[in-house]
Amino acid sequence: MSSIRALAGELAARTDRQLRALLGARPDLCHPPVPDFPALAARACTRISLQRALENLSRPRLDVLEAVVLSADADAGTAADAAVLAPLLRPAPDAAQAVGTAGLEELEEHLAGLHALALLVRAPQGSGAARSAAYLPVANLEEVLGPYPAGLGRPYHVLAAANPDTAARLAAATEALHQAGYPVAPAAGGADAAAELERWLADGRTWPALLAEAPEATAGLLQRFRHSPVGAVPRAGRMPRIGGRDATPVDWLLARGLLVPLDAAHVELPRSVGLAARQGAVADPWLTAPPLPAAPKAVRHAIRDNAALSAVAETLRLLAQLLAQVRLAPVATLRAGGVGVREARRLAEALRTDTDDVGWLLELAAGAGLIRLDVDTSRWAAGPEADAFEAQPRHLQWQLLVTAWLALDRAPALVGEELPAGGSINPLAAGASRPDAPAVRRRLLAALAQLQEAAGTGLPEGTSAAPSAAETAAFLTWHQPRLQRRFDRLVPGILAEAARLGLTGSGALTDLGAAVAAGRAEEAAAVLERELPAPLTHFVLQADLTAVAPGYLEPEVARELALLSDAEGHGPAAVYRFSAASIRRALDSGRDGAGILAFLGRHAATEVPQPLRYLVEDTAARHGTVRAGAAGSYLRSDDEPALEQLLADPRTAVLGLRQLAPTVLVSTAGTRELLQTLRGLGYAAAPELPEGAGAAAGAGASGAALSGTALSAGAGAGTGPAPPSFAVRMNPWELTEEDLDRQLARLRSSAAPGTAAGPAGAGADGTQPDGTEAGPLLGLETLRTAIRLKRPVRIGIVDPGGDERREVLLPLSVGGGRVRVYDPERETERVVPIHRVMDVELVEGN
Amino acid sequence: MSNGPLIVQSDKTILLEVDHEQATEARHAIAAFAELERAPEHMHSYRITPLGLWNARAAGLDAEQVLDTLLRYSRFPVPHALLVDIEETMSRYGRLRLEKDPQHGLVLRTSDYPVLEEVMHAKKVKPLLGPRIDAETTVVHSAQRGALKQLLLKLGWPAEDLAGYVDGTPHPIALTESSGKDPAGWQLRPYQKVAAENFWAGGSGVVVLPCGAGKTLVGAAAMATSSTTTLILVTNTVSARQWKDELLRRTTLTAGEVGEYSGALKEVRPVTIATYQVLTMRRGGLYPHLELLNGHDWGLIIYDEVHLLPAPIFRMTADLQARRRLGLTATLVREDGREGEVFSLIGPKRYDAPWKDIEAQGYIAPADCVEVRVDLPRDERVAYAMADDADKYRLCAASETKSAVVEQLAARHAGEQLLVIGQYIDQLDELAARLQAPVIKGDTSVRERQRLFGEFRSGALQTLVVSKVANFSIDLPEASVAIQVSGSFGSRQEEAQRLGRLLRPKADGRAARFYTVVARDTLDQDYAAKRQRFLAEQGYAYTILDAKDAGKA
Repeated sequence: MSSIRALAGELAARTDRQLRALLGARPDLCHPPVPDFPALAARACTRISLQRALENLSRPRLDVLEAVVLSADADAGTAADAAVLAPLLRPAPDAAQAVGTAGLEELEEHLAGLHALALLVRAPQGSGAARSAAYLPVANLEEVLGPYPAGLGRPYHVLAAANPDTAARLAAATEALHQAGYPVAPAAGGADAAAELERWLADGRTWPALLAEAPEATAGLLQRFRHSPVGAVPRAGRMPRIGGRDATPVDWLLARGLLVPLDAAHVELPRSVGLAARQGAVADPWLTAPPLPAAPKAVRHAIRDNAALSAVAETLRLLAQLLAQVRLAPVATLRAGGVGVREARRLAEALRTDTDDVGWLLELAAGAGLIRLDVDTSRWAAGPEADAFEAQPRHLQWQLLVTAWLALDRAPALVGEELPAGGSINPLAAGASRPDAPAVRRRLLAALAQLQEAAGTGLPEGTSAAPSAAETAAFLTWHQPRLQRRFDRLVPGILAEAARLGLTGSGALTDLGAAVAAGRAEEAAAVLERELPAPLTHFVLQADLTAVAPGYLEPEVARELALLSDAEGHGPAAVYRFSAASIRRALDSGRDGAGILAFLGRHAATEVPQPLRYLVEDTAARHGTVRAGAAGSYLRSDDEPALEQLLADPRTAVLGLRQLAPTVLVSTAGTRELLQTLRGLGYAAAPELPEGAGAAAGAGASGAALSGTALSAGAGAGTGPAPPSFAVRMNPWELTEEDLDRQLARLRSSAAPGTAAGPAGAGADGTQPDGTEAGPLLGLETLRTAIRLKRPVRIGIVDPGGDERREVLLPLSVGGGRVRVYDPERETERVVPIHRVMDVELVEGN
Repeated sequence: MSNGPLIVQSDKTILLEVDHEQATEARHAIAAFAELERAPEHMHSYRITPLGLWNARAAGLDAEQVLDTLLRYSRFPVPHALLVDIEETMSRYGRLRLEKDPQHGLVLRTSDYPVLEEVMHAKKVKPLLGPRIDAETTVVHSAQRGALKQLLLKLGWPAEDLAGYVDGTPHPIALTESSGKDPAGWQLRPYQKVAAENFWAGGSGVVVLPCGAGKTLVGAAAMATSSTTTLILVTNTVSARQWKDELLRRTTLTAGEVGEYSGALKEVRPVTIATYQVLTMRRGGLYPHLELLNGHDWGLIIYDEVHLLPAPIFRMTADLQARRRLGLTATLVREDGREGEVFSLIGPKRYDAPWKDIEAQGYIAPADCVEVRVDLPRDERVAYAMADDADKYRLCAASETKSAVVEQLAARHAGEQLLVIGQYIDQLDELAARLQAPVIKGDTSVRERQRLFGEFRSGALQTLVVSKVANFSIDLPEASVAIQVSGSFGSRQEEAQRLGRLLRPKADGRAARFYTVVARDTLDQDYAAKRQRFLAEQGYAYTILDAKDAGKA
C-alpha cells in the first residue's frame, strides 16, 4: 500500500496533541493551511518538506533514520524495528550503554520520535517483527537522503542494474573469485553476480578472512571511504588479476570486485563492502551526546564584560559616524550592485577604520533600515529613520540593531570574500544574501547558551567558557548534521558579528547575549542602560586648540562640535582639533563668531583658552572678505540712476533683481529672460556674454538644496523625533496557537469522511485522487513503485485536445516534470508531461 | 564601570585627566609601559607602543599587570582588541635572549625554536650570527650586539639582553652634595635622584628633562654611581666648557681629571668631554677621532642633547652595547623621526616628566608665551604674494614691521635681561643696530661669545641678539624675556630649546616671557602654529595678541 495513504490514515488517527506537536515541529506543513489529511500526508512527503524536517534531526536520530532506510524495504515487505537496528548503531566505547549495540529503549525512543515527525510509518501488522513496533520510511525519504545514506555506497544489484559494463564486470569478478578459490559461484548475468557477491559478503566469516590477506594499507584506504563511498582513482577501469604481485590496495579491491569502477576516473565502494568494513555498523560511533569542548577556555567576567561593552560603544560610535558621512554624501553603488571598493575606502578613511568595518557597518545600517537605497540615484542615503535612531538613547539604539541583525537575511561576514569568478563580494551586494542566516543566528545563540551551561560547573568562579568557532560549529553540527556546510561557512562570521554587538565578549556569551538568546532583548537593553555611562554635554578645551570629549557626547553637541573642528583619534573619547579651516567651515554654514564662542563657553568644562578665542574671533572677523553667491545673470551699467530706476520699477519684481554695487545688479532669471523682460518693459539692454545659462542651472540646483535642508530642520523642530518604526521581518516558520487551532479544526472537519472510511477506504477508490494536493504526489509515488517493480500502470492522460484517455503503459523513469513510458501495444517509448497525467493506478495481478 | 582618570582609545593612545584625584597614581602606573606624547593643561595623552611594552617587560612587568592597570584606572571599557594586542606583543619579548656563554662567548638563545629559525632566515640577521651551537643556541659576533638587537627589534622579536655590561676602568668620583641644611651647599633634587636611579637600574637609557631642570647633575650623579672613567659627548665647545665647570663644582673631580676633546684641544683624561663635531669629522673617508669611543675602556658614556645625535655616532654606538650609555635631552622629538633608533641604541626612556610638573615644584621658572601678530604693510603683502615659494618664508619672517614691534617690546621690558633670537643675519644685524645691542652669530669667535655671555650673565649687558648658534646648551641664567623673530621653519625642538633659555629659575621667582613675532596670513604664521603646538602639548599656553595691543598689554 502507498505509504502516503498509510501516513494519511495514521495522521487522521492521531490525537490533537500529537498533531499539534507535529505541526509545531514541521510548521511548513500548514503553510498554506491544508484542507484534509491526505493533503497533509502528501505535503509531509514532498521533497522540500522532508528536507526541512531532516535539517532539524540531530546526529543520533539521523543515524537511526538512515539505518531504517538501509534496513527496511517497503516493496520486499521488510520493516525495521529496534532489534533490527541495534547492531547497526554502535555507541562510542565510553558511552554508558552496553558495549557493541545501542540500547533498545533508546532506539525505541528515537523511532517513536521519527514516527511522530511523520518521517516513518508503522509497518502493517504481520510483516516484519511483531514483538515491537516496526517502521517503514515514508515516500521520497530515500531520495531526499541521497544515494549514499550514512556514507554507504549503493548495493551491488543497483550498481549492476545501473550500468551494463558494471554488470559484466561483476560477472567477471565472480568468475575470477571462483577460480582463485573463494567460495563464490561463477555467475553469468549481472543480477546473479550481484546476488552472489552480496551473499558471500553477508557471511560473517568472509570479511575478517579477506582483510587478513589484504595489503597492509587497505584498512587505511577503506577508512577514507568513510564519508563518501565514491573516490577518484586513476585508471579506475583496469581489471587487475587476483594474486598479482605488489598489488596496491586499490588493485586488490578492484580485482575482487570489492571496489566498482563508475567511469575511467571514479570508483564506488558497494554498500555491503562498506558495511563489512565498518563491522556491520551503519553508525560507528553512534554519538548519542553532543560533542563538548574538552578543555573550555575560561574567560574572566571582568574581561568578558569589558570586551562586550567596549564593542557596543565602538559599534554605536562608528555607526553614528557612518550615518554622518552618508548624510554628507550618499554612498554610490556599482552597476552590478553593492558598494564598490573605492567608495568603501573613502568611508573607511573618513571613519578612520578599515574597509572590513565599513562593510559590516553598511550592512548593519541597511539591515536596520537606517540607510536606504534611493532607486532613482542608485545611492544609499540616510532616511528619516536615521534621525529617529540617533535621537534614541544608546541602549535602545543597540536593541534596534540587535533585533535587525537577528532578522537580517544576509551574512555581512561574507563581504570581502573572494568570488570564484574573480573579484570579491561587495558590501550590500547580492552575493552576501543568505536567507538562512536568521535561523543560523538563533541556533548559534542558543548553542552558546547551552555550551555555557554545559561548561558551567567545571570552570573557576567568576569565569565563563569561551568555546572556539570550530567547537561551536561541531556542537551545532551534532544537533543538525544536515546543516554542517552551512554552519562551517556562517558560524565564524556570525560569532564575530555577535562580538561586535556585545553578545559575546572575548568569546564568552555575555549577560546581554544570554538575554537575547532567550528572546528578551528588552531586558538586555535595560542591562545595557545601566552599564553605559550617561551621555555628556561638556568637553574639555585645551590651549593646543583641541577639545576632548571625555566620553560619549550628546549627539547634538557632538554634531555641532564636529562642524567647528576636525575629529581625530579613535576610541571612546573623541578628540577634536580646531583650525582656521574648520572655523571657516562653521562660519560658511551660518554660524557666527559670537555664536561659536557662546556654544564653546556653554559646553566647555573649563574656560575657553585665549588662543582658541583669538582663533575664532580672528577668523570670524575676516570671514567673508571675498564672498560668493549664485545669480542667473547680471546687469552692468555706468549709468547709476538708470539701475536705480530699474530696481525701483515694480514690474521688474519677477526678475529678482538685487544690487551688489552701485553699477552692478544681479537677477535670479537667466540672461535671455532678463533681456526679453527688460525689452518688453521698454528698457534697452544689450547682451554682454553668452554664458548665463550655465550659471542659471547652478543657481537652481543650489537653491533647491537650501530649501531642502530648511524643510527637514523645521520638521524636526516642530514635531520632535518620531519613534522609529523598523520593518523587522517576523520568522515565518513560527506558528501561533491560533494558527494551530485553525489548522486542526479545518483538518478534523474536512477529513471526517476520510477517517470514517478508514485508511483502507481511502485507498479503495484509488481512481479518485484524494484532495487536490495529494493527487499528483500519490500518482508519482505509484509511478515510482511501478518503475521499481517493473509493473504496468493504468494512466489517465489528457491529450492536447482536452480529452481524457486511459491507457495501460509501462513507466520507465520519471523526472524533470516528465514521465517516460513504454507503450506495449504500439511497442514504442513515449514521454508524457506529468501535468497531463490525471491519475495513475497499478494494474493488479498482471 | 569605575570612574577612573584614564580613557583608553582604540588607536592605542591613553588620555589621562590631570585634575582627577587618582591622576598621579594612574600616571605612575602607566608610565611604566606608555610614552607620554602630549601634556596640555587638562588631558595628557600617552601612547602604547611595542617598544614601551617591551621595555616594561624588561623592567619586570608582565601583560597581566599591564591589563590590570588599564582596567583598574580606565573610565570606560577598554577596547578588547587592544588588550589582546598588548598580550600578544608582550609575549614576544624574551623569547630570544642574548647571553654570555662561558664556552662560546656571546650567544643568542631561545626557548622557542621556530622563532630562532625565523630570525635566522632574515637576510640581514644572518651575517651578524656565528656558528650554530644547537637547535636553540647560536653564537653572536660580540661586535654586532647592538646591530643585532636593533634588527631583532625591527623584526618584532626583541632580544632580552642578559649579557650585562663591562665595568670599565674604575675611577673614584663623588658628588659634593651637602648633607645638612647648609644654605651655601646644594643637593640633588628629588626628580634628579629618581632619574639617576632609574637609569642605573635599567643599565642604559635616556632621561628626558626640560631645559634648565639640571640635566648635567643627572649626568654627574650617574658618574658618581658608576665611579669609572667616563666619556661625555656634547654638541659644541661652549657646552663642553660648561659641563667641565659644572663637574668641577659639583663633584670631587679636579681640573686635571677632566679633559676636553674638541677642535682646539685633544686631551684624553679619566673624564673626557668630546664634541659631536670632532668625532664626526671626516678625513679621507675615515673618521679619525671616532676611535676615542671604543679605544678606551670607558665605564659610562653620556650623550648630551641626544636628540641631535648625528648618524655616524649612531653607527658607532651600535658597537658599544657592552658599555653603559646615558642619553640626556629636553625633547625627544627629532624632525627626522628617528626617535626609535635613539631608543633602541642608547636605550629606552628611563625618566620623563611633564615640564609643567617640574615647574609646579618650583625647579624651573614659569613662562608666559605670547604670540604677537603683525600685519604686513600693503607693499610687503604684494611682494610676498608674488614671491617664489623658496623666498616666501624669508620675506615674511624678516619683515620690516617686526623690527618696530621688537623695539616696542624691548622698551616695555627695559631693565630686564632680554634675548632677541632670529634666523636671518641681516634681520638680526638690523635689530641689533636698532636696539644698540651686540649680536652673536656663527662667525663670532668663542672667546667673544664667552665674553658677551659673561657680561650678560653679570647683568652688565641687558640685551643680546643671537642667531641659532645659541639654540643649545648655553647657560644664560638670568634671561627673563626672549623675543623670537624668526625660526628655522617649523622646527619643534628649536622652539622648545629657545623657550628653555628662559626656564632656569629666576632669583626673584619671576615668570619668564617668551614672545614670538609672527606675520599674519603668511607661512610664518603656519610655521609658528606648528612650533607652538609642541609647546602647547607640553602645557605651555600661548596668548595671541595683535601688534597694536602688544605695547599696551
